[in-house]
Amino acid sequence: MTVSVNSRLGGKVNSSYILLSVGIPICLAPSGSVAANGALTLGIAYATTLDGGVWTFLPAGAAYAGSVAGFYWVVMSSTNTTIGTIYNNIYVPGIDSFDIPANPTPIVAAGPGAFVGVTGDVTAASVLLPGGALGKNGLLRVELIGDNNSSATTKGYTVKLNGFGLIGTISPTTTVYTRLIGAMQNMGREDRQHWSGWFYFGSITVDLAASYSTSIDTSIDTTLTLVLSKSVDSAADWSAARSLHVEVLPS
Amino acid sequence: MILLNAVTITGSGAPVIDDVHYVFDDSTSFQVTGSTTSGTGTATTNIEVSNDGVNYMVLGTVSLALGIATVTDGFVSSARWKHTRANVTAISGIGATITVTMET
Repeated sequence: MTVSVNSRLGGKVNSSYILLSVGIPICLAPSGSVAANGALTLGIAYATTLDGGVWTFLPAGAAYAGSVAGFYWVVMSSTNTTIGTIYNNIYVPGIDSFDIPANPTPIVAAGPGAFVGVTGDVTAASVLLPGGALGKNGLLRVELIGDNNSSATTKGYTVKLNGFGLIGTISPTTTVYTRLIGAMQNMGREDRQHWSGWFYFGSITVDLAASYSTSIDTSIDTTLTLVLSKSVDSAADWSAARSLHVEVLPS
Repeated sequence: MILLNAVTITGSGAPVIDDVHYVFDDSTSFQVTGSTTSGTGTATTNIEVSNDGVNYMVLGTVSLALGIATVTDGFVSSARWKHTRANVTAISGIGATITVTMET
């Protein structure tokens, strides 16, 4: 099937749209401790950019006795980003809304004490890319802003399509702010695409070497995910996505 | 609204008129749907627009590869035209039918 239009007369086809736009920070917590009623103390302070509220991944049993692992709504102190309050509102990527809870649910429980921050990969956002949305020559454009603390160990961010790391993983150590821009375009067919390397600010580096092609069938539904990660020796560190913006430009 | 309903032959339908009684929004979508009763076929449908109601221009063309299973495609328009109609310029296949709808 084909569609052609006369744009001069007002016909429009292949209109671009926003697939996903997350402006709320999402973070993997460092090690810390929790006192009564969700009173959180981090081992390493968050950046002040996170003090307006952040979905913070805590391990099981960290928020209160018997609590599940997941992203909890956390509001840090405006004057001390080492301390904050955990609310009993959980965001499950791809299932729950990441919107700020209108009426956060307080935790009323004894504090379980110290916890160890998670390491490894954690999916922080998930969205369906409908089959055929890109077309044979369509473009997927991604912009991501990451924050993390400064340390010798690696923290990371990446965006995946159907579990495939699209543009490689950025693994900052002492660079605490990273803005990444990348794009994928179908190569005249819906099951083959090439990716630009991340163009990223922070260490002011252009990662042209990361350009490569993939063979993902975009004629059927696929899933785009944001993945945050921390290396096995970085439990004490934190890694956050401050912003993720994904645009679909069909063609 | 329906511009063409299960037509089996080529030709244009009656235009829908955007006048003082029926003001269209600037954004209008068109959908063309078709099928056959046996085997495969093809159909080409133009969406045509005009302000004078006499001279029509092709706003867009939807070409469908038909089969027993219903297929569909469409597009949107951002402009306002007084007269809008659908015109099937080609249709083939056993029992091939085309339906065109418009929403504004």
